Amino acid sequence: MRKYETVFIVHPDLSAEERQPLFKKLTNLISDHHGLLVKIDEWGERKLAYEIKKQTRGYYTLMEFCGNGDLVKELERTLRLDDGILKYMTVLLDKGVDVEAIKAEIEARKEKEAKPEPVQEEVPVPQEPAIAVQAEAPETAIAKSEESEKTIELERQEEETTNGDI
Amino acid sequence: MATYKKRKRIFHRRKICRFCADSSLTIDYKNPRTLRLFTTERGKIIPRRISGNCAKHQRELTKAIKRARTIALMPYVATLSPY
Repeated sequence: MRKYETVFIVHPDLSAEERQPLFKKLTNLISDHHGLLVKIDEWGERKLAYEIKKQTRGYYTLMEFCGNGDLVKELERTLRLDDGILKYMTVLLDKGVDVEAIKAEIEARKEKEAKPEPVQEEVPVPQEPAIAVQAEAPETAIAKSEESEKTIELERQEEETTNGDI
Repeated sequence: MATYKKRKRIFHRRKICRFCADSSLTIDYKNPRTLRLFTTERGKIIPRRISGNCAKHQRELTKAIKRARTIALMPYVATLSPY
């Protein structure tokens, strides 16, 4: 399979709801032709460098997918027939692509996108262990030599200053 | 010898390919901001002898600029007042 990317400019007067059926049509088309959609990236409305169909602005969308020449042919035909599309361009990215590898890549990306939420929750957690260390510190200090006590005191001072900053 | 002395002395500054020197600078038609550095105000592609790019990168750059023009990210012909 080959990897392509298509940039198309949607008419700026179309609202988000009016755009959705168009995107759905394109994604269905890809799956119907045994293609694999890698990603859809909506750049949003941008100023065009020159007028297209009397429009100075356009809604840019990037679509990355894997498929064969037939799929591209069919995709470009539908884009051409649709009145909501100002212009489109398809670029060949890779001639021979491993479908399984790309599927794994997509899943990895999905996991990454899902992960950031728990990370934010974990942020307050490290403060608790820091307090626990402070509580344990006096006991360990007794057992160890004076030098280690000094270092622990220094550490404590550092912790206090950092806590003050927070 | 006389002709040699009379010959105009041209100042040569060693030009380096900016893409070879800076690996973080990538050529991509989707990023017109970097491509714009290599076009004139009118939107023409700056030749290699002036920009100092190496052949490989100039080739990629030309392709990227032409693609960006196709999808209206960059102008074919720009008016003199920049956008």
